[in-house]
Amino acid sequence: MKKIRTAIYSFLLVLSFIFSALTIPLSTGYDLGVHDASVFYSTQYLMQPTELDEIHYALQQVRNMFSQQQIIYFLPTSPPFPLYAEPVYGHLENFEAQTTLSLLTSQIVDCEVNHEFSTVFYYGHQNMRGVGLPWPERSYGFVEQAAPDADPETVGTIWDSDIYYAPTVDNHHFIFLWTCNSGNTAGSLDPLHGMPISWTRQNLSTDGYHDPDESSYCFISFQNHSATFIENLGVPNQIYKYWMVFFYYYALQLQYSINDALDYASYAVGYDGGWSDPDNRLSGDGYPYLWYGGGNLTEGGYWGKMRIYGNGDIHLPVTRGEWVT
Amino acid sequence: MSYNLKKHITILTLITLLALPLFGVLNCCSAEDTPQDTTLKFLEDVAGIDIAKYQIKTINVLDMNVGIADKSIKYVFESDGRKIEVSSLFKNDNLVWCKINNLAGSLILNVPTGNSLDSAKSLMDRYQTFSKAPYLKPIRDSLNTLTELKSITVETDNVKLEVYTEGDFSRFYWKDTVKGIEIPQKAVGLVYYNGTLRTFSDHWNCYTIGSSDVNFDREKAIQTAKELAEKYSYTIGNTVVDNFTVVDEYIIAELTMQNRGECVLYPWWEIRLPLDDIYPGYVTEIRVLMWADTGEITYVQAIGGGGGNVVVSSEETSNPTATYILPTTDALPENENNSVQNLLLVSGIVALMIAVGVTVTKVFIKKKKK
Repeated sequence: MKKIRTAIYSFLLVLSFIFSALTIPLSTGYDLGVHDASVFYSTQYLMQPTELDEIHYALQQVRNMFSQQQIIYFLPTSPPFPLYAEPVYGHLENFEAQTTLSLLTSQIVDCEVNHEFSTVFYYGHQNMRGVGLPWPERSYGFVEQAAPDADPETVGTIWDSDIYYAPTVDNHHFIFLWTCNSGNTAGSLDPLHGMPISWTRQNLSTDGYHDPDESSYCFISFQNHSATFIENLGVPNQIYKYWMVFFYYYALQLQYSINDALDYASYAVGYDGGWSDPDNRLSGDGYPYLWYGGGNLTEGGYWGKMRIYGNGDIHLPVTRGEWVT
Repeated sequence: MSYNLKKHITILTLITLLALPLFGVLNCCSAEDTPQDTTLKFLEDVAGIDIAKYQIKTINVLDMNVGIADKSIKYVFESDGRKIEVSSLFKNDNLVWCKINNLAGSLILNVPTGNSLDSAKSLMDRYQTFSKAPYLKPIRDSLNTLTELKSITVETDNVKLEVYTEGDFSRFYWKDTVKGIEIPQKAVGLVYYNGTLRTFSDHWNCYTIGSSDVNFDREKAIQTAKELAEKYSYTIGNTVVDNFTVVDEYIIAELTMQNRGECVLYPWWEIRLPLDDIYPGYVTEIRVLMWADTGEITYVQAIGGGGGNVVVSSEETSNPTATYILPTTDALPENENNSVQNLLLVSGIVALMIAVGVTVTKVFIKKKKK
């Protein structure tokens, strides 16, 4: 009897190793159709080579952090026996510079239909338009993939309404758009405009850091100007890319809330006061960019800061244990 | 031991003991206090939270480097539907940063509430008692010059107090200066939201000054930056962007003391050269970073942003009836699909093999018993 029990336990142990091995992340992405989802996009449009490199490395690093989040299933033995593991993010895609409207909307639909909690990160440029909206309201969009020096007339834009009308958008709980202007407004349905409401279908708090709402949604983007990953943070040897990678590190690896991740990432890059440090160029009253006045920057302040909408106290799904049922 | 020697030793010991607070050695708490104890004492004695009325639900202590800090502690406290989360960071067992996040209900306080200015004054009184660090006196005294809460900068001797208030948000920040150069990191800060303390930080004793000699003055630094900008170029696709024209009258050169490593500070120039036009990638400035004592250049970069065009009038409309691709695996590269399918196939085969193996073993064991 003892031998049989030993054989069964050995078998279960081997099985758990095999399942763990099977859930090791694939090279660029996968969709196992279970649990949560995380999708990354960017574009090459108007990017310098060093910026493209930093985007590539940052998205890879962060994607790997998502892939390390596991649900470990335990047998209700004493002590509990870890039987096998599955990825928390059963849908994990890093599309980088493959962003198109059809890809994005199909991903939204898939995330809504097959997954419970979805997150999106996009890095790139944006456009605004005022068609059909009372001034100064704007529709907001971010650009599709295009060559760095593509003719602007040929570069497609994914508008807020495109996202809103992708069917049943309500499980995209954490959206991070690293673009200019997408964080200008929480948005409205009458008439429809604004990225936060289009992604979440919620009227989100406009200060999710200090005054979070009760929702399970958080939207982050920039009001006015957004910094590039290669810009220095005003601290020696620190660039915005490091801040972004730290942010996801604290949110995923240390399982901190969005707001705590904002603080710890800021502290990690040298803002000793955290998110509220007066020298933090991401927060506060905005960092003024230099613009002499040439060219065609026709509206909007030429300063920028990150805006947190909704509930910054939410946590991203991370590694956890569950009983085998 | 002679009487004289004994007398000298006694006097020296007394002087040392008296001098210790002056060097900030007796910062925060007694030597036996763990960082966990310090956090609790800080919350009770400085932040004014009646921590005895709460139960500790979780505590998470991590020895990890976050910026200059080397330990992180997170507490969750609960009391009759109330819930607060406290995050604190330590350097060399000294509390350097603390955030109080009130997640549910109202805070149970052991101090009277008031507006943020009154709260800051009384908190700094309590913090002086708690810390005993001598640098806190001029910091506390600087608040005496304020009679109402408003955004203002007050400079006294080497301490610069910046008060920023907007709506429910108020921030008091004291920064050290040396030879008129601001030291952003050597600071004490209080952040209030809605009259309640949200964040506390004290890094005054964390940094030392390596040198404050500015061997490259403003003129020399700007000249160097402009020479670098003349030679600078970047590419966008196949397009080389160069020949920048700098608009001299809008140049900004900011001198601060910054950490060159090991928390030792040196003067540092951040030089911002505005350009005459918007260059590809929405580039409007070239930024140059330079150590002001050595002239070492650490960064030259065209600064752009994620901006874009504004379509003021257009026939273009969004397309809510766009064709959506279902399901998502269509969007995967072919090899990716294959690898997922292959993994599932392999897992099935392996599971089958193991099941067969176990059955054979069971039969073998049974036969052997017979």
